Amino acid sequence: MKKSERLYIIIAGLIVGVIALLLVFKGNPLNMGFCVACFERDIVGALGLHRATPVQYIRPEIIGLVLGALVAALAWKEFDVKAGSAPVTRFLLGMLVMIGALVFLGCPLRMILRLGGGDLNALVGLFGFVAGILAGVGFLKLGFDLGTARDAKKVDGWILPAAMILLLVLLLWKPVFNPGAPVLFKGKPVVAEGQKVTSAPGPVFFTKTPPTEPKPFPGAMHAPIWLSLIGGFLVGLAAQRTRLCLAGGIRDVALTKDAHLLNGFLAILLIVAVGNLALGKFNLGFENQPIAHAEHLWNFLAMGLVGLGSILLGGCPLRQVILAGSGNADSTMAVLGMMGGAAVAHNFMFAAGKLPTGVMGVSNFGKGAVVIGLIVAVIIALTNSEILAKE
Amino acid sequence: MKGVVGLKVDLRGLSCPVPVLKVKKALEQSSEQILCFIVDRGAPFENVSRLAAKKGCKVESTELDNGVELKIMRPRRG
Repeated sequence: MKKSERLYIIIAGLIVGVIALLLVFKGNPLNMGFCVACFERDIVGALGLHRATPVQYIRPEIIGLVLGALVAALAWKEFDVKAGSAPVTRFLLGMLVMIGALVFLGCPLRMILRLGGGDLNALVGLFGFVAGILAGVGFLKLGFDLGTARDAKKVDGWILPAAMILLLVLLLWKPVFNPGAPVLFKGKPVVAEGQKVTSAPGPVFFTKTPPTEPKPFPGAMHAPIWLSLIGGFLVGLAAQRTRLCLAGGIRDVALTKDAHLLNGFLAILLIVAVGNLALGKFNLGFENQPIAHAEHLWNFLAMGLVGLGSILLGGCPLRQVILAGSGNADSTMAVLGMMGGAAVAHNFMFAAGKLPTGVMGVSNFGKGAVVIGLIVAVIIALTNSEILAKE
Repeated sequence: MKGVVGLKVDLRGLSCPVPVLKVKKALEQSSEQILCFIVDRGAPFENVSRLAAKKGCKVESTELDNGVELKIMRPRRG
């Protein structure tokens, strides 16, 4: 391995970690400086595609990631528009990965950030993630392959970045097309502090924490727009250049004993743990962790689904966003699938959250979704492997 | 060098880590002294180069319009 390559990916990991710490310090939810799954879910909610009012916000981090990857790909002549490698399968896999991530409460990146904050539930999640990746490696050895992508029209690669610009416009403009409709929370009108219930959101919906709530909702917690945007942009640049992938690190060690990508993973964990210790935010344990639950089996299985799905897609959720920004239309399908999965996960009550008992946990719907998701992922894996796919 | 190349495989358009696995398999199964591949720029190019270097092979790369041609030369035996 070239020394410079290793140095760059470690630097990329450190950049991701520092920006994640900074974004939390400036307002993002705890252990959520970055979360590709949560942030895509928030955007989907902001567009009104799910009704979980506590998690609706157009997260500029995602916009920044796509644009950062785009600029890096253009600058280094890697903007390569390709499409046609099982797009519908990738959409479905994206949905499954998102469902797993929302049952665990975080993508692989947030899993690392949670671990760096002392959340031991993320360690259980990591075990599941590794197990899912090893299963995926097994399918790769059986000849799993979603097929060859071909060169596509350039414009196909520009649509997602353009959509991101549109999202940024909506975030800054906050248009209201339907004044008069009440803001609802759990079916009841919400009165924002000091305001009458007259102005309603729509077409974009942003979380407002009702004054009766003791703590702000996650969707209402965010760093300043410009900071989130620049933070996302820098991470997008760094991740595009170094090919940072949080599933790929573990996969490559298992497959070819190549620890290159794992260096990035470990660098994030190290800097975040050190940062949290220095800031006095390191809280070791299973209980009372921010936006987390302690249902070990479901943390394990949910991240197992994320791990397996990520290997079948060829990279973790972060990597899919980066590839999508670099012109890969198949990864764009995976990202859109994740967004679809986010809507499904909340509308069908799969996502973990506060149970009727008052504790954070996974509903029976969520448990069923993870089990079915794992079965579907295995079917996808087998039917696209050489052993079964021989015609 | 012409004439020694017995294998030239186009690995463009494949997701990670399929190109690496195909090159690994080719290195293990073929007896050619020099193997040739065309891969996408970016991750596939870097990953395949890294694998070949790890196996002690010399790698020569040529930029194409749409991809990179990689010439992987095995270490001489003995």
